[in-house]
Amino acid sequence: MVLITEHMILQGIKAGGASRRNYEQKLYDLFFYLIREAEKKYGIQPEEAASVYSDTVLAVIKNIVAEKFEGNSSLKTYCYQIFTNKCVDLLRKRTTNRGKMEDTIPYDSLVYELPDETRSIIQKIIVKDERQQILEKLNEIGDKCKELLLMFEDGYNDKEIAAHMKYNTADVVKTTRLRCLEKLKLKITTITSK
Amino acid sequence: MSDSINYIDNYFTGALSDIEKSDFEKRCAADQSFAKEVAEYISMRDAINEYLKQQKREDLATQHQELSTPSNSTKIIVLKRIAYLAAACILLTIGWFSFLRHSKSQLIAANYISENLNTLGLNMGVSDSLQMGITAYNSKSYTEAERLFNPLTHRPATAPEAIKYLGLTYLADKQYDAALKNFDQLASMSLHINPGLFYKALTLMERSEGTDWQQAKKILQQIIDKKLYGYQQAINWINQF
Repeated sequence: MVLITEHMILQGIKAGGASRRNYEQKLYDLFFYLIREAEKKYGIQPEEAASVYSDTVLAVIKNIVAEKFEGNSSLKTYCYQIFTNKCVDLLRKRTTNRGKMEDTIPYDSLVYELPDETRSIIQKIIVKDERQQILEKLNEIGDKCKELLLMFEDGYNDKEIAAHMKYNTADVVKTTRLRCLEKLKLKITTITSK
Repeated sequence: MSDSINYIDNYFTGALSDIEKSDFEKRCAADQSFAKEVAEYISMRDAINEYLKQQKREDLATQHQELSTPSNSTKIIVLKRIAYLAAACILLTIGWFSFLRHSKSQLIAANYISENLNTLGLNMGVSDSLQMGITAYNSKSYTEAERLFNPLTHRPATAPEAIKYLGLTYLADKQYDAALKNFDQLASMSLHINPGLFYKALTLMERSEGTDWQQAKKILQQIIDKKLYGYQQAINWINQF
């Protein structure tokens, strides 16, 4: 049996490619025991603890891919910190009755990449109840378009997508990706204009 | 493909310079229609991200299920491990009791030897050579005792005594195989009182290797059943096991 180290997982996720999924699963396995700990420590239901843990793993993967995890702490400490924060958030939401996430902009929204002033302008324009329609229309833009957009959102760059989806160049991927976004936009606009 | 979407995408993928980024942000404030396009781009990317997260959550939920519910093969492995552990525990327990019995039989034998066989009596009527051998034995000169007893084992008149003393010399010198050979030879002799089997059992108890203890127990039972030499001692020992 090969022992998987944190370093191997980090490198595996950063390396991308077909094996990335494998390392994501290994990351999930590695700190799986946190679910049980949260049940004991915070009195959270098993399903809730599992859901918080899933979100933790997804956030960690995203940060690794985006190179936001700089390795100043061990992966274990990093995961534990995020997981604890999420557990505390969950408990806080329960006690303050602020459980309706649907009404808010997601914590990892792109809007947070804008500076404060610009963000407040854009936030006012974003149509919050549009999200469900976009999700539905995503299934209507074709499988290849959908796969491409999902891969990009998963942190793969245009070059990696080109290699995976057999496109000639990264530029072709970018053009195709933006066309897919326009296609999606068109589908949504058709609905809203009706 | 519109230029706007390319421009917006470049901003969020970090392809713009600082000046270009600043221009982009200024345009968001000044151009309502452009700001709307940015908002639409963000909404789409956020929704795709949400879809992706949902997909991944489902994958992780499957993985969670697999990790939480042991599969049949895992169950078999767990059961096998339990079986191995139980077997190991049983073996350890048997081994421990066996060790205790062995060490106990060794202790009994050592006590008996120290109390009864450290010094052999110089009997009247035995030949001078036997007396010399016994003297050597009593002074723990076992090589000398062996040298003196050995030739006497071939003489009919001295053979039984010489074989017994030679066996005891080997026993005292911890040459158990040689001792057992002599006691076997003695036991096969037709004598009125024959300590051969008793000393053989004693030697096996003292050695306590492999199945020595079981063999010794069998011999002691034989001595008790046939009321042979040392049968009272044998009863005493058997009861202690």
